[in-house]
Amino acid sequence: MIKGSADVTVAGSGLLGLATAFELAQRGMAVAVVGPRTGPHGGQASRAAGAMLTVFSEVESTHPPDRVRVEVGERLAARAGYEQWLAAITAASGRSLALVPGVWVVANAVGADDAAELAAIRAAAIEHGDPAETADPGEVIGLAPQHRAHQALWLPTEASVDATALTAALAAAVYGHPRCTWTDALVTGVRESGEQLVVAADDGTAITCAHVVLAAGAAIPVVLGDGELAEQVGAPPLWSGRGTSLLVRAPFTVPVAIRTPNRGFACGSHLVPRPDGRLYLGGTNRLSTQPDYGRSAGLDEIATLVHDGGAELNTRLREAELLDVRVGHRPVTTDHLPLLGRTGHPMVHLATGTYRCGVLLAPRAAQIVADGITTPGRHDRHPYSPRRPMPAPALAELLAGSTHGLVEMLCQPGGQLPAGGAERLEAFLNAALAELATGRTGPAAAVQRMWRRAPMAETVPLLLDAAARVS
Amino acid sequence: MNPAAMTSTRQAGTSPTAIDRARLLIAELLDHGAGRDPAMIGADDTLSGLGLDSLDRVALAVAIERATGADLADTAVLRIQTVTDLAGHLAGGKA
Repeated sequence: MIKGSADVTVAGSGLLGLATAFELAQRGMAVAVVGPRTGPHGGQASRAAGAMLTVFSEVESTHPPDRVRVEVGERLAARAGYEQWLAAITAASGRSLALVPGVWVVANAVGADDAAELAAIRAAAIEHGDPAETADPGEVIGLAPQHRAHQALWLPTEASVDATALTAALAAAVYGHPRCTWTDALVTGVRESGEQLVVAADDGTAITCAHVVLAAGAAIPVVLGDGELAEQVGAPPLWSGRGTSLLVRAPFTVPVAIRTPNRGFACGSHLVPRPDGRLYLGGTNRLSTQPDYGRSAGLDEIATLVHDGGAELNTRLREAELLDVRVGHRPVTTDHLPLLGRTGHPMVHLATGTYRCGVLLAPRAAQIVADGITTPGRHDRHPYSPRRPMPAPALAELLAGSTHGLVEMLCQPGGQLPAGGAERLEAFLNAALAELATGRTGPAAAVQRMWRRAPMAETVPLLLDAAARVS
Repeated sequence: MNPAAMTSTRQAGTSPTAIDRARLLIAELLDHGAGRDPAMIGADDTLSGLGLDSLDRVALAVAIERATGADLADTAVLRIQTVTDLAGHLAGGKA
């Protein structure tokens, strides 16, 4: 066994874990990182991310105002310090990192509610005193879709960054830091040993420390197990939104990120500029209750990306050269808000649950988590505290609002129902799902079990499959 | 049924009938009824090794609840690793 010790052990080497390790080291603490440093980093959300710093454009017209206010406030706080954070990483790693300012959000007829979504995004920006300029889609460089856009919204506060370069630079900064050590292995468990905690890794390493930060995404419940420690930690359930993205070289340029609003339980289509004229095309989002980090991209996911990107952003994507395919698992909670800071156990902290906003939130999350260790109590009432109550919505209530997205998703990629067809199918699905939510048949039992496991809107597409597999 | 599977069935103390029911259930799930030979599924095979995903586990949980008439907790479902474990649950025992 290889033994080590540290003030804090950070379990997980994605952007959130590394940002927390970097922050703690800068505050003078001795930090041990346990997580993959070399290798393919399969399934890590950070390296598959589009990395648009989406302060406003993930707002949806159906989100409750309270949630929008909290989320936008935290994202703005993260955005305000972002350039400074990148500069600190550059100074520590010697690697330059460029931010591309601005994001275009375009509305088209594919998303029947796109005008409402753009209005909600614009209202959120204006409420926070930020610019959001409505423009003619003809002004958007690189936008040449099959389905004409009817409106474009320019958000100058938002930006994009090369997630792969950022993660690599932050990894170099942490690896080279005199107060950091890095065990290139997977964390397997945490246990108490007297007044200390011991973190075990699959290479036999055991690190003794005063605090543990769990930043291993949807693997955290597995790391904690189901013993006494897990009970005291009381971590809320954590799932993953599996996302596939492509890196391409296309015969056109996109100087700043272009995206559609969120739809069909996913973040719409987006093209994000990367260095050397490459383009990032994203992104799918499928809920996974038992993530398989080794599973590669499915043809269905790739077909959806290529089709929707071509139809809604630029038809010439079909001529693009495919450079890379990535799969990442975005950690997500039942209430869709992150889990940051101290848990029910005073020495165990969480840095996860950032879902589709992890790249933007990383520096802010790192501060909140580090504060929980260096100035305990400061964020006890923070809306992202892992100790907040997280009531599950009622199945019937959520099903009623989800059939529209379900039909959208079923039609992907490129399918179209005749006029009025979607409305009729939605009405029928509403009735059928209501029966399944309360019924006593095998398929109903499967749907209700799935729902108890992950009570959130993103589960609805899985309910279809769950019902179908029970004969 | 291969000889190795038979041996391990006896070792695990699970009735061959329950193992056969478990095999049939898995075969149906794997091919969506397209006819995989249940006899090719070994008693020691793991569910994940056979390619069953989390949704298949939901279907298995429902099948177990129907076979036993008792509620089955999610944590118990997650602990089912092998075909023999599944057979134990179908037979009404605690695997």
